[in-house]
Amino acid sequence: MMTLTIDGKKVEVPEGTKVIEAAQKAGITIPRFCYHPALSIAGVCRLCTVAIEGQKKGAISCNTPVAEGMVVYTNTPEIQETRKGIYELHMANHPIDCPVCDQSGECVLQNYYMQVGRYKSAFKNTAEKVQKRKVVHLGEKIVLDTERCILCDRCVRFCNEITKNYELNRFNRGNHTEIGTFENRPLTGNYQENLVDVCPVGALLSKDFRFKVRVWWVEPVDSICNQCSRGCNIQLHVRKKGGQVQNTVFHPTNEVYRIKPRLHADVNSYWICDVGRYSYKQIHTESRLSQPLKKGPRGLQAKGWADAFEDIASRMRGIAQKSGPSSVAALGSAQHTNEENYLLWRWMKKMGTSPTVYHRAVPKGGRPGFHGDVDWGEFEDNLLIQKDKNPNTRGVQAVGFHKEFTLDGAGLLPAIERGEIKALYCLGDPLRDLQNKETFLSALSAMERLELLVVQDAYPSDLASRATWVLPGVTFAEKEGTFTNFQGRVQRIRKAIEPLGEAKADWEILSEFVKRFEGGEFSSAEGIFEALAQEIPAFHGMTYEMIGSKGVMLPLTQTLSPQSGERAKGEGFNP
Amino acid sequence: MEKILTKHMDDLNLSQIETYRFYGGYEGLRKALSMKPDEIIEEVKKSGLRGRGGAGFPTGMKWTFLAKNTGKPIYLCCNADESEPGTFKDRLIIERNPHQLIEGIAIACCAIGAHTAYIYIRGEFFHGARVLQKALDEAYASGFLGKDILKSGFDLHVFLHRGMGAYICGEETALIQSLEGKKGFPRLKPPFPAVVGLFNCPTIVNNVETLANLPYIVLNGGAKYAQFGTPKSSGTRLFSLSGHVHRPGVYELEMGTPLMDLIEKEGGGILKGRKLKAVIPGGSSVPVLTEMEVRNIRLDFESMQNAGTMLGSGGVIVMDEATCMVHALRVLARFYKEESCGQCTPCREGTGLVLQILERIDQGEGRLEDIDLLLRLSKYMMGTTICPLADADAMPIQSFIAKFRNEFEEHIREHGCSYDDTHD
Ligand SMILES: Cc1cc2nc3c(=O)[nH]c(=O)nc-3n(C[C@H](O)[C@H](O)[C@H](O)COP(=O)(O)O)c2cc1C
Ligand code: SF4
Ligand code: SF4
Ligand code: SF4
Ligand code: FES
Repeated sequence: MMTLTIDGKKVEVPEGTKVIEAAQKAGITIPRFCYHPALSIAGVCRLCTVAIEGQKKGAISCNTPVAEGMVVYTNTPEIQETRKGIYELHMANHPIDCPVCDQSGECVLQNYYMQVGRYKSAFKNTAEKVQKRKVVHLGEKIVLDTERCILCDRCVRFCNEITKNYELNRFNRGNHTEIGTFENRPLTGNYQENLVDVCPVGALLSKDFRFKVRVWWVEPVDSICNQCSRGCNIQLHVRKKGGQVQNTVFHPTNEVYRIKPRLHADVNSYWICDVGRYSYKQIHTESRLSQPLKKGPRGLQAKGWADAFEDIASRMRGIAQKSGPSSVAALGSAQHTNEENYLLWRWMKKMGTSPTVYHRAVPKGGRPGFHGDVDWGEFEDNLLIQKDKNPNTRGVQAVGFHKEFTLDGAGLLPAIERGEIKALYCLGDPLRDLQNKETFLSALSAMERLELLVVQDAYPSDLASRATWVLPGVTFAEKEGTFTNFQGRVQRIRKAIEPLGEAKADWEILSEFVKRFEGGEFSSAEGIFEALAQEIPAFHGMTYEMIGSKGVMLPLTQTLSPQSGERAKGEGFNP
Repeated sequence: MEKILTKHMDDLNLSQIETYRFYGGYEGLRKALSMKPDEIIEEVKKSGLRGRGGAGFPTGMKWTFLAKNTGKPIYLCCNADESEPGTFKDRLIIERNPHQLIEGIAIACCAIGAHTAYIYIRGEFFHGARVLQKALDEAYASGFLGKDILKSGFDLHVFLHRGMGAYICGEETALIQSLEGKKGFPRLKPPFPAVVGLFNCPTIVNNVETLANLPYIVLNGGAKYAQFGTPKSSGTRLFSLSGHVHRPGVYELEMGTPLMDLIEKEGGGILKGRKLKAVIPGGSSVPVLTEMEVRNIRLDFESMQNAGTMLGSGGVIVMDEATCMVHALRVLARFYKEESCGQCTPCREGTGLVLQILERIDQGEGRLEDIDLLLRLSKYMMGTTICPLADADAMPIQSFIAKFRNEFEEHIREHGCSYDDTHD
């Protein structure tokens, strides 16, 4: 450990730490463009220059290792002057098209103008600025404006060091330097949108997001991606209902506008994949279930919730009384939260049966943003994307659903066919991914033998259309809860928008049944989690507070996963 | 005075190994092979030899910075990229006395324990590359290079690598990048090449002229070499004399020789009987000296430093009274703008802006605030970048304006130039 003084504050950091990181630890953010904690040091922007006692010249703090007894000043009048100058040079050839630039509002260049700039420009005449390529399409996802680029080299390092595809580089020299791809080839791969995040300015922009909404009209809600078992930490950027109301026609409220990664050193570092990034589109798809439906003589008919709860509860009771508790079954879901699976399990326990089977999605075909030569459900890589595309497989198993639903393996369908199971409550749709037509049809017809089939899901499906009752649940953006990722890390999702139509948070639906069967009441996901933590050994002692923004590891998996514990921010990422 | 580098250059066959050996060539290497590496380094330290590439760093000391016991090979890179405006002395050694360079390289490798050396030669030196390659082949054939040199058990391979025409590749870390097959961008320091250099191995980069001095030092002892020149600037030096003199060319002079001697005695004085106006004494990158300053200055590191300038690469650029200093600076600024690699913001943007401003002043479209703007920009560029190319642009700007401000003001005031600077 080494002790140094930065702006009069003493900090102790390990040897080898760079001054910029030590300052961060002391609560001082040194302005920077090219430094990125997850990338190597480029040292090109020079904005992070600081004064070090005993050294004549200023030093760039991102490449200066700390030394014992070092005395650093980050904000002397001279340093402020130097910074202003360096900042001015960054701006000298910048087009300043903030009014039409999508980065506006979250642009580091803009922010630093307010913080360290605020000068009268000596280079106002735009005709004298160096002209470069403005709208360069780098494939389907990303568009580049080389005039806005400040040549911080972050995107180049991202491609060289994180995805290792070496797709971006600097072309030409001097003030004609431009970022680009060889022969303007399109970017490839599943991590392109991260380039937009690493780019401090509006040079690399997302075609998906640009021109949709100004960033100051959206607010972030922390959540977890549900597209695979990695459980990347994300933010949903939403316009909330009842928020600022201007322009609701073009920019409707109660809508998720984009997904951004949220730092978690041990899960996803600063990154997410493009599939996770575009998954918000599944929230606002046309085909969502928005009210309870009941099978009638002319197909499914809309009903009220009271009806649904009453009818399902009494039928369940009736079947259990008539044919015994084991004639009632429920299917857990790796797509649903720990809380929801727990409620289902608890309800079934109360009815005298113990559910053991859960289902997992194995998506076929592609996904928006996915580049790969196999189905998304089969795909995995060595950066983030996990083969298991379910956010909560570890969780549903930990709650008590041990057996995975397969066409015969779990014995559920044969038991239905034999007439032993007469009522089935499905959390989600277990048949959605059965592409083999024959097995799918035979599974469907088996399901039709049930006296009572309840499907609780956010999306319509063939199975739902054959159900006795269809209960509209919601997507992960519309509810609270926790997922347990492949490492065994329990992490929180948060409600970002109101449920669609009459749909209800899945835990809310299930807690209604639990209430009807045992009188226990749950008014929040947090309350359910408390009960879960008491009853299910794997979750003992956990609370939402403990989970915080970093998650908590299941004890039994702690030995399996070496990735527990927090790593320092700047450290390399090695999933 | 004894010449060290140009002694036998009048003999146009010197580039042939027989001729070079006739004059005692490769005896230094033979002696070096019988010495311990530390003994060679000690002699070089004693000689007081300082780098001839520009920075003037003591050569013996530089060698001792090599990372020890890394288990990795050590490399020597000979910097033959000579592209500094006004500098053309390495070229002379390469074309006329290549074996002395090769012998110097071999001696340096003995001293630092390198078994592979690369000569990075400026791309435009077609002829030089041909001569040097032929000399290398001769040296291999005669057993001065290759395996088991002169039956000493010491192996050394030397490769000639041609650059592609970028000034920046003369900067030692850009040179290393380029040798590795990458774009010639200077590397961030630390780490320094002596620790992490070519292919991530400890590496020494030395200039052609620096290395060519080694045979003499080893053969005659460091103390003998140190008798030439001044205490802090030992030996002789090749000065590339250019500009408005009668006899431009490369002259080997003892360090400490008066600058006026070079101009008057060697160069035959100023053209057309005109008066001297200014001299850039160390290649285009160093501060300019006025006629007054030139009168009394000597050609050594410390005199130059005292006068606020540098001996740099030894390129002496002479300007007579008909020279427009605004135009001269503009020409220099264009060079740095073209050659900036574009990594660091102060250099990338600064070199371009400076040129833009100088162009408009030179064309009579300058603005009153432009002079201060130039000074401000040069301040932003000074000492703020990865390599000193930005400084090399900033220093001339600062010194030209400090010493010839009236000419800049006149250009702005009068909307043009009153100099007849046609020098045909
Ligand atoms: C922009 C730039 C260009 C340079 N060009 C050359 C060059 O052409 N030849 C050279 O020997 N040194 C050049 N140098 C200096 C080298 O970086 C390095 O200091 C030198 O090769 C070391 O050799 P020495 O110690 O023998 O002088 C250049 C430096 C800079 C910053
Ligand atoms: S495109 Fe963005 S990330 Fe890439 S160098 Fe330019 S400013 Fe930096
Ligand atoms: S890797 Fe997985 S969890 Fe992360 S963003 Fe992609 S799909 Fe979501
Ligand atoms: S100072 Fe100029 S030439 Fe040197 S590394 Fe920086 S941008 Fe490149
Ligand atoms: S952040 Fe240090 S040089 Fe850019």
